[in-house]
Order: sequence, then structure tokens, then C-alpha cells
Amino acid sequence: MDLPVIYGVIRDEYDFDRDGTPVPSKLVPFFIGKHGPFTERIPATSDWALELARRVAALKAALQSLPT
Amino acid sequence: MTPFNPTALLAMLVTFYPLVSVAELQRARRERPDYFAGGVLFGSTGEKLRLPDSRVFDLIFDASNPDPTRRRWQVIEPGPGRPDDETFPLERGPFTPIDGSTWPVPSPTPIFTPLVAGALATLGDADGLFGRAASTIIEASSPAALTTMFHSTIDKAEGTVGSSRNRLNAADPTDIIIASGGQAPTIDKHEGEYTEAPPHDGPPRHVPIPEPRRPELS
Repeated sequence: MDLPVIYGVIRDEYDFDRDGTPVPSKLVPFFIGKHGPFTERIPATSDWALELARRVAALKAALQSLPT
Repeated sequence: MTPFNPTALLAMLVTFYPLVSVAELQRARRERPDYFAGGVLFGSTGEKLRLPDSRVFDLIFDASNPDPTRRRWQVIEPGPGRPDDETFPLERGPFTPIDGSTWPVPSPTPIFTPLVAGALATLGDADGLFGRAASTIIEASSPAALTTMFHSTIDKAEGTVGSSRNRLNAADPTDIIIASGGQAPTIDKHEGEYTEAPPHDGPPRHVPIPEPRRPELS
């Protein structure tokens, strides 16, 4: 059964690397089916949406593998 | 603050942190703090999560097992009254007072005094030996001998060097310069090509060479 994904408001934030340099990122809250909220911070690169889709698919697979 | 959801936390741990350990749990807490909803890690190995509303969750199954393949992620809220919820659990009761009569009575016979006395006796006149050694060191470290030698050598050398310096200052090299200038014509007279014939070597000498001898076989 494919779980629907519902996204919340995506916010632009800044993380800091080890040198203290600010790194822009996207803060994405979402629900997978009735589970959540999940919150992923994704580096704001040109392919951030692709990375988000990859993480959501991995989380969805983990959820479906968990014992009910 | 993001509300806490045990299923989301477990799915996140299983997905992004395949190696189950307390270090990875701390890394997840640092990298994805939203899933922990402001809770703090604690416990004997740091495998438990305490939320701000005082709820406690156990996040690693068999966390103290040295075999990492036996550990796995979990998000379980233990029931109340389990002794392993505490970081420093108490002993189970009932408690029995300690019986003072079970303590061993100290022996009236001294044990260590004869041992120390015997060890000191084997040292002999250690104080005298140390005293003599200290006197030798003190005498050797006195600068008197060095001072005497300095006065007898360096101080005399200063006077000798001073008198030599005075003699050099008083010397007048004029006569030596004039005498050297007078020798120049003599040197110039002997300058020129070497024309003398080399001496004759004489006739070659005949040296007889002996005949080789055959080795005698017996």
C-alpha cells in the first residue's frame, strides 16, 4: 500500500559547518500516511528536491518494513 | 517545537543510521534534533531519551551487548516501576543491617613494627654513610680549588700578556722596513730564465736476469 506524503511549509534556514560557515538549507516537514511529522534538513543545492524525494522514499520503505 | 512521534523517530533511525550504537544515536540527536522534540539522552550507556514532559523511551535494544549485530533500534516507553529505568538503580529490599560482630578484631600483636625494625637493622650505619657522602659532595662542590687555580694561572697570564703588548707597542719596525727595501736589488739580480744544463744521467747499467728453474718433482 502506497502511503501518501503531505508536505508542510518549507522554510529556508542556515546551518553551520565545522568552520562556522553558514550553509543554506531547506527545512521540510512532512507526514507519511498518518505518521509524522518528519523533519528533514536538506542542503539548498540545485537538486535539493531530488534529495528530498530520495529521503522520503527511504523513510517510506522503512515505515512499511516496521512491524505493526 | 516539533511534536514527538515515536514511529517517525524509529523510521528515521532505521533509515539513516544503519549502525546501531550510542555514538550513532548521539550523532542522530545532533544532526536531526527535530525528531527528538527537545529530549535529552541519558541512561547507563546513553541509550534512553527523556522528553521535556518527563516521558522516557528506550531507543536501543540490548545496548550493552558488545556485538553490534545483536543491537537494534527501538522506541519503547518502559512501564513504571522497573528498576532499570534509573541511571543508578538501588538494591532490592528488604535491607539487613550490618552485624558489627562480624568484623574481624584487630590483632594485639604488632605486625609491621618488627618488619620495619628488621629492615632498618639490615641497613647498618646508613646515617653515617649518607653523612660521609654528603660531606664529600659538599667539599667537591666548593669553588675554593677553582678560585685558587684561577688566580695562579689566569691572573698571571694577564700580566704577561700586558707586558708583551707593551713591548709590541714600543717596538719601531722602521729599520726592518729599510733593510727589506735594500734587499730588493739582490732579489732582482737573480731573476731570469734558468739556463743551466741538467746533469748527465750516465750509461745504463746492465742487470743480469736469472734463468727460470724447473720445480723438482719427487
